[in-house]
This record gives sequence, C-alpha cells and structure tokens, in this order.
Amino acid sequence: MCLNLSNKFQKGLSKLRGKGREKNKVQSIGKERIKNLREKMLTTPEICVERGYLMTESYKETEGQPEAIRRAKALAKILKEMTIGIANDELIVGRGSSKQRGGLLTPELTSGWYLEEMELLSTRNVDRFAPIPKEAQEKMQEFLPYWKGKSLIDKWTARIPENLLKLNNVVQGGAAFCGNNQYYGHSSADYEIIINKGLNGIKEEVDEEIAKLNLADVSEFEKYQYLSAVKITLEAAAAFAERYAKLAKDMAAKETNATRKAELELIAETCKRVPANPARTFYEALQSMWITYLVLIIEAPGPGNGFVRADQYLYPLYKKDVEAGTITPDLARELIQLFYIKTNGLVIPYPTPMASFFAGFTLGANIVLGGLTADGKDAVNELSYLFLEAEKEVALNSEDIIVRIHKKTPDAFVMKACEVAKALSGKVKFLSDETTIQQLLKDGKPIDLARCYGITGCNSPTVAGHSLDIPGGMVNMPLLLELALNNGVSRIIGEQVGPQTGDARNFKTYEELWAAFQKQVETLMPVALMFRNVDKQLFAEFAPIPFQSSLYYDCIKNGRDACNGGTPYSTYAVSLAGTPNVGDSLAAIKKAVFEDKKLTMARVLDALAKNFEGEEEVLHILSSAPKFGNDNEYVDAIVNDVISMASKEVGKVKGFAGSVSNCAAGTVTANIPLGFVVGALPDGRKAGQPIAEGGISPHQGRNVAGPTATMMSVAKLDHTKITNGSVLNMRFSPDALKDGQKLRKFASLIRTYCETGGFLIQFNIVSTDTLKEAQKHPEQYKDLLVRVATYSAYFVELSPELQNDIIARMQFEEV
Amino acid sequence: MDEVRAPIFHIIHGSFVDGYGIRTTVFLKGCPLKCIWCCNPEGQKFHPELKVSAAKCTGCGNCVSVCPVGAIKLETDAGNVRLDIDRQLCTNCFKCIDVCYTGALDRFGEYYTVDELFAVIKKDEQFYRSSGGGVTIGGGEATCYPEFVLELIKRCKENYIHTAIDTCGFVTSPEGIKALEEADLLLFDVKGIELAAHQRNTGVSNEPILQNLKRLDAIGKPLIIRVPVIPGYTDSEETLNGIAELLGSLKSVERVDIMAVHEFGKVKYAQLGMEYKLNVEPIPPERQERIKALFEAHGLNTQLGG
Repeated sequence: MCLNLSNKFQKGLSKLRGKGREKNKVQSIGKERIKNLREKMLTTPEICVERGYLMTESYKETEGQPEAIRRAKALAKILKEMTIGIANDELIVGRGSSKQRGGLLTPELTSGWYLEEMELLSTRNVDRFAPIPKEAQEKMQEFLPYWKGKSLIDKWTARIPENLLKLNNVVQGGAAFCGNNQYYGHSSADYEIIINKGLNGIKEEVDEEIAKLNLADVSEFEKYQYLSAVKITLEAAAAFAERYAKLAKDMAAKETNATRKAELELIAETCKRVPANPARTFYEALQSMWITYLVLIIEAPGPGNGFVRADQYLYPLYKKDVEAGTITPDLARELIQLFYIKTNGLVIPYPTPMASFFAGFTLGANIVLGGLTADGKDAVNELSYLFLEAEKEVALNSEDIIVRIHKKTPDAFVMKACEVAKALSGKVKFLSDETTIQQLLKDGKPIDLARCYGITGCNSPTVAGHSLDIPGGMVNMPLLLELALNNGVSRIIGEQVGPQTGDARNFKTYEELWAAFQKQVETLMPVALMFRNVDKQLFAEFAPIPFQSSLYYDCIKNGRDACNGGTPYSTYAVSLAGTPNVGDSLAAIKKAVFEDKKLTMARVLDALAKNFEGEEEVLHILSSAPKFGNDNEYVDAIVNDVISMASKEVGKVKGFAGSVSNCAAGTVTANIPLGFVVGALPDGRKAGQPIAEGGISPHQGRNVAGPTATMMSVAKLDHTKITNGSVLNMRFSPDALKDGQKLRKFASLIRTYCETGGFLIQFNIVSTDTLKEAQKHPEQYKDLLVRVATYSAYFVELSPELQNDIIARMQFEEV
Repeated sequence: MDEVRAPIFHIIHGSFVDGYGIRTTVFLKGCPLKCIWCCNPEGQKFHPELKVSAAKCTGCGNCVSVCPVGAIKLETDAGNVRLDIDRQLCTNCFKCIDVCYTGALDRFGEYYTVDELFAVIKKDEQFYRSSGGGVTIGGGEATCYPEFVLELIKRCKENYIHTAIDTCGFVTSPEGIKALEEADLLLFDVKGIELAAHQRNTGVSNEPILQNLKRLDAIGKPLIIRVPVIPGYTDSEETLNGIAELLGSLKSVERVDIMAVHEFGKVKYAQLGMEYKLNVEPIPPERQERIKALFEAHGLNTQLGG
C-alpha cells in the first residue's frame, strides 16, 4: 500500500498532481444531484454489525496488550476491513457503516441490551430501526457475548458503591455515558490541523516526540505506549482513505459515462492525497475533513462532534480557489451541501430507556458561523453566508448550524440566518457571544481563545483544538425538591432516596424549606458527580481516543489522551434538569403558604400525595402563583437561586484529570423520562408528567406574557453559573414571521436576547395545525424538522409523548 | 384613592404588529364604538367583566353558593351541567372566581395605576431600542382614559420610549384629543366614509372621526391608518375607493394597513355572554391583493395586516 511511501516521494507525487489539477477540479454539481443524495438520507436507519464485529475480533486478538494499543489496533482493523462504497452522484466520499443510514454497534460500552432488544429495535416507539436481517442477528449473537463483564457499563456498575447504584437514572439521568451507549462525543477536534498538516504532518510530530523519550523513565514509557497507539491510528486513517482512492480508481476504469468517469478519477486523486497530506483546495479540505470525521466517529461513536468554526478555517482555501478562478460561490455552496448530507449517514442505536433521553437519531455535526476573530473583530465572511445558504436546500437533521451573535455581527448576516431559520421551521441556533465569552473566561480560558469559541453537542461552549468540554448526566432537580418536601422519600419509588430533612408539614418559613432543599442538593449532587467521574475514569482507562486526540493541541506533546487530561483545558459538567419546575414550585409555596397564607404546608403536602385528586382548590391556588418565563422577578429570582446554589455544589470539587467541574442547564429529551419518577409538584404539574424541557425553557405552556417576557426571564439568569450551556426553546407560528418586516423584528428580538445576557436560543417555527397533521399523516411529513432538545429531529420519528410535548409548548402567534 | 387608574384587559410583551418595531401592547377596557365585527368584545365595556369558559366547568357549584346576588345557576341539560349567568344581576364582584378551580370563571380586566403599568412596559425597553419599537396603547379606546394615557405618555417620553395610540378616532373630549396629539404615532382606524353605514356598523357617527383625522393630519401627526375590510359591511368598491381617496389626500399617512376580516374574537363573545352577529367568509388572498393595489394607486404605502 502507498501508505509506506516515503514523505519525500509523497511530496514529489503531489507536485506532479498539482500541475494537472486545473482540469481536475470539480466541474459542476447541480440541484438534481443534491436532491437525490438528500432523499437517500430520509430512510429508516439500519443496524450495521461491522464495527461491533471487527472491534470484537480485534480485542480477541490483542488480549494482554496495553489498552491504548488495543484500541488503536481495533480501529485499524475496522477501517481496514469494513465495507466501503461510493454511491452514484457522490463527490465527497466515505461511509461510516455498510448502510445508507447506519447505526454503529459499540459493544465495548454496553453489549447485553443489543441481544435483548434485537426485535424491539424495529418496533419500539422511539428511534426505530429497520428490522435486523437474520444473518446479522446471528452474527450479533455470536460476537456480543464476548463483552459480558468487559463492557464499560459492566465495569462502571462494579465500581459504583452498591448502596448508591439505585440512584442512577433516578437522581440523575444518563450519568454514565457508557451506560447510555455513547462515547462523550462533543469533540472539538481542530480540523485546521488536518487541513494544514495532514496525517503525515501529525505523524512526523509523533515521531519527533517519540524520539525525545527516555524509555527507562516510567512516565515517559507510558507516553511511548500512548504515542505508538496514536501512530497506529494515523496510519490506519490514511490507509482508509487509500482504500477509497483505489475503489474510485477501479470504478472509474469501469465507468462508461465520461463525466462520471472524470469525477471518479478526481475522487481517486483526492483520496490519495488527503487527509494524509495538507489540503490544497476547498474541495480537498472538505474531503479531508470528512474522512477524518468518519475515523473519529468510528473510533468513538458519540453525539455532537463538531466541525466548529468551518467558515473560519476553510476561508483561506476558499479565497485562494476563488482568486484562482477554480471555484465559484455557487460551486462552493453545493460542495457544502454534499458535505452536510454526508453527516446524516450515521446514527447511534440507544437502548430503549436511553433512547427516550436522547431521542431523535442525530449525531449533531456542529457548524458554528460568524462571531469574533481572536483579536475581537467581526468574523463573518463570504463562507459564513454560503454555509447558511447551503442549509436551506439540505435541511436534514444532523448538520447543526449555530450562528454567533455579537454587537459587531452585521444585520445582513443575522437576517440571512433568520431567513434560513424560517425556511427550515426553526433549525438554526442563535448564540450570544457576550455571554459565551464570559462563560469561557470564567472557566479559565484566555480571552483570545474565548473569542474563538465554538459549540459542540447541544450547547457546550468550547475552543477547538484547545479544550474538551463535555456535558454530563441530567440531575433531576424537581425530584430533589420532592425529597425536601417528603423527608427524603421519593413519592413514585416509595423509598428513602435522600437524607431526612424533616417533616415539611412543620416548616414555618420559606427559609426552612429552602434549607431542606439545599441539604438534598448537597447530599445528592456529590453522588451525581461521582457517577460522572467514574464514567470518565473508565473511558480514560479502557476507551481512550488516540486518533481524535491527535487533533488537539498538546495531546501529542503531553503524550496523554484527550479524555485523560491531554488538552490544555477541559471541563466536565452535569446538567441541571427541570430547574424551572423547582422555581415555580418554590414560588408557589412561598406565596400561597408563607406570604398570602391561603394554604398550609399540610394542605399542600396532602394534595401532592393525592396527585391533586379532589384537591382542585389547592391546585388552583398553586397554579395561580407567578410562573417562570413571564419576566416576573418574584419567580425568576428563585430560579436563579436554584441554579446558583446547585452550580456552587458542582464546582466544589475538581472534575476528572484536573478538569473544571461545571454545570449546564439542559434536558436533551430526558424531560419526559425524568418526569416519570417525579410525583406531583407544587407548581401544579401532576405526577409522571414531563418536566420543563431544555433546562431553562419555561415549563410547557406557562409563558403566556409574550416572547420578550420569556426572553427576559431567561436572559436575566446568571449564565456564568451554567457555563456548559443551556437552551431556550421558543415556538413561533410561521404566520408571525410571514413578511420581511416581521422577519426584521424577529432578528431584532434575537439580537436583543443575545445582547442582554441570554445564551442560546432556538425556535420551532411550525404551527400547531401542521404538527397535528403530521401526527395523523406521518408519511406526508417525512422531512418535517423540529427542534427537540437542542438538536433537530424528524417529527414523525419521535415518540407520541415527545410529539405531544412539543405541541404543548407555548406558541407565539401574530396578535 | 385619588391615584388615576384604568382597567387593562390584556398586555402583550413582544408584539410584531401594532406599529413599528417590537412593541408592548396594552389594551384599555371600554370603547364608544360597538362594531359588528369587533374582535375584542371584552374591550367594549368600561369595567372588568366575568369571563366564562363553559367547557372547563365541571358543575361543582362552588360559584353558585358564593354569588351574593344569585346571578349564577347550574342548569342540567340532557345530563350535562350548564353554567347559566344572569349578566343583568351580576355585579362583577368576582367572588365566584376565587372558588372556581377549573378556570371556567375568570375576569377580563384588572385596574392598573400609571406607575404599575409603566413598570411593566419598561421591562421590554431593550427590545424597543434595538428594533425601533415602543409601547402601543390600544383597547377598547384608550382616549376614554385621557388622564391616565397622558400621564403614561409623559412617563414614556421621559424615558425615551416611543408611544403609539391605537384609536378608533371617535374622540370628542379635549383631553382625549390632547392624548392623541401627544402620542408619537397614531394607529388610526377608518371604518367607512358614508355616515349612515358607519352609524349602522359601529353605532356612532363618523363625523368626529374624520374631523379628528384631518386635524391630526394637518398638524403632521404620523399616522398608520387601519382599514377593516368586512364583507358586506365595509368592502364595497365605493367604500374602499372613498377611503383610499380620502387617505390619498392626506399628508401625514405613513402607511395603510388593510385588516381583512377574521374570526379570532368569536370565542370571546361566548365568554362574555354576547351574541356574535358576524357571519362572513374570509377574503381570498387575491382580493386582498387587489384592495392593496387600490390603495397603492392613490400613492399610499399599503400592507396587508397590521
């Protein structure tokens, strides 16, 4: 294989190829091609067994070897042996599975459930897969048992103190990523590194580091082992691209259509060059990024791996191509579209309980546009616009467009983003630069890096290449309040879950209630943090990510994995879920019991115990108290108190490997399952009902005062207490934004939210009627996108509970 | 209590209609007109009123026992319990609301002092700034509370908040007219040219309205004119032409908003125990476009909707 060619020869080769590249550029793409490729992504995902199978085979072969080496060799085997393919019409090539839209198996994380749910996967009401063919099922039965007791979740379960294990998925949902069957994801790998240096360039650095090591030194020897693993993965990735080069060449030889033949030849040339070598054109850069991304995902399938600031790092090559006349803005836009479409080919199968936490099948490939440059200037460029425009005709669920809003951001750019958001029923996230930069500074990043931030996953601020910033499981804040009101006993489970904080009937003041709640948080938050930390510990020990690590600064120099403190900065969060319910509940008690004295604590507690059955008066009085989301200081201040107090608890300890321990306010889609384990709340929510979605979005349907009031409630929170991010979800009727003038007002609404302390805001711009129609006729609404959590999903692929939850959200109409 | 108060039946934070930019719209209760097509019937009477959402009633009877004047009865109608309110007897004491736990009984209208209302308006200040918005004082007819409105406008001006009054134009008191003059912008309704039809449709003469319109135009008050288009009432070519011609002759009209009939207000008639008399079909979009063109032909900047 060409893999072994010397660098010198590679350079010579590229020079030769460089001469011919004028005529070998991408000629044209066309709407038809984009439409065809897009259509193919609107299919039910299929399970691909290859990754799981090859991983298993490799692990059997490498028993006894260092863990990092085993990981690297497993990745190399998968990349070498997995099925590859180039579809008709494709110009950017590379598949992460053998399927069109394939689900990867990660038995090294969890394994047993695949066998248990093999049939269920195609019939369950959330994240449904196509039925798994018999041969695949047989294969799964053959290799999955190997992992019994070896999967990370088995190790996690064995490490957690037995008496605390029962709190998992009660106090906190999704605490152990390994139990969710997902790697951390949220990669902020810097693609600039791969574009500029290529795999070969990185490998040279690895070799240089290895050459410096004194193998007699224990810690340096560890580095040696680790860097050897990195090297294996870099070579494996180059060989993977090489397989595509060969495939394209073979296909070209057989191709009779002259145009396609030329395209295949171009693909062959390109994959021969990148990602092994630096990219010389915009097209090469996209192909290089794509293969790199695939390898990164195959190494560690997880959600929200970002391309981060693609409009920034791709700009120099784009500009060069435009100046050389080898690309037009239209062509660049179409290439971006091909790239977006590719990001939709992979999904992660989650065990059913976890699928309800992370419903919607998206990997969420984040593209962050605009914002500031390192020296504080407006960063919007032509490519920022092209990335936005490209999305208009793609509008699939995985590519995730985030628009940074700063006072310096041009109105034209904000308007373009609003236009695209409207066309895509809401699918663009808007993010405040001012707030986010403050958050990054608070967590210790220097200003020039903070200005270059991006977002990974749902809402995690990060700095590509410099920092790994991972969210965490979702702490069920309403449950903690329930415990404070019920002397530590969970109403639904009926067990002592938290400390005994006294019979709430005897509470004479609001402060007593607050103290009980605080005690529950102080006692149970450390459990949540421990769950998180053990998870991180296990990933670092058994599931390092040497390939991904090579795309961060310092991991090679430090000889440490990104998930083991190798990056200059890192934060690990836990998410606060349902804080608005806690705020609404505390406000209702404060007002109705301790101030207006309309109710006694005893009456409230009796009513809660009865789930408000026959207690309509109590329900009425509690429901009439101020609710978060209406710019009412009485309750908004309490929500902020809750966030501040919880955040302080989380920050008391360090995270794994010296990281900062911080908070997010988010739920993904766990607001539904977390609600299952919470009884009736004093805010009027009944037992088992969903809790507020999005972490800081007002509870569904309670924000009735208008959009600006909702925004101000959220913008006034101290977002430096939730530095891993949060989400405000708002729903607008499309009529409310129907013409240019109204869209202009919408843009100013967003600007003001971002400039007055808000963080991330996103919209569903789809009418209740449309959503109800889609429930009735799913076949006609296959590509109707909605925002769930912070990502987009196809409405018709969601469970009925989640669909109803979206419909229940406050819709702002034209009035 | 000598502090000036006015009954407000609705406040919208973040309206994209009702004037320029992002607005906070406050609705004052009480109107001299009784337009057949009125979509805010809860804005007609000058005092808070009982709002009855019959579908939410479970027939618990709490309200019956607390009503001091016996205005509430529960009728059993084919096995269903039906709430029957004698609005003649009802004194709007609202005791029944406190004991209605299902939300079937509620109220339209709360009294605000200027201070209280201004505090609410000021919350949205940052949105006004970025969008060129402000507060829109509508109703009902806001100028029926001239003292309140003048004081509110003064407070807004001191804080550089743009003010608009949404008016039916039927303003006869000097203080009311002063309020119109003080506002930065007027959203001024023109509901017909012909006197008899106007009288029939709205219950009042349009003479003072047209007089005010011309006077305010003459002093250069910025105007957005709102023309309701109600089939069978205000949509004859003659009426629309007449309005367009009149508006075309004015100099301070910045925009004309063509307000096509809608039925969003229908549910509120039932809640108020009022009869809904309008029975019309929506206006097809093509016809709306033609009406827009008609106004544009008179040199008027015209848009569909508010």
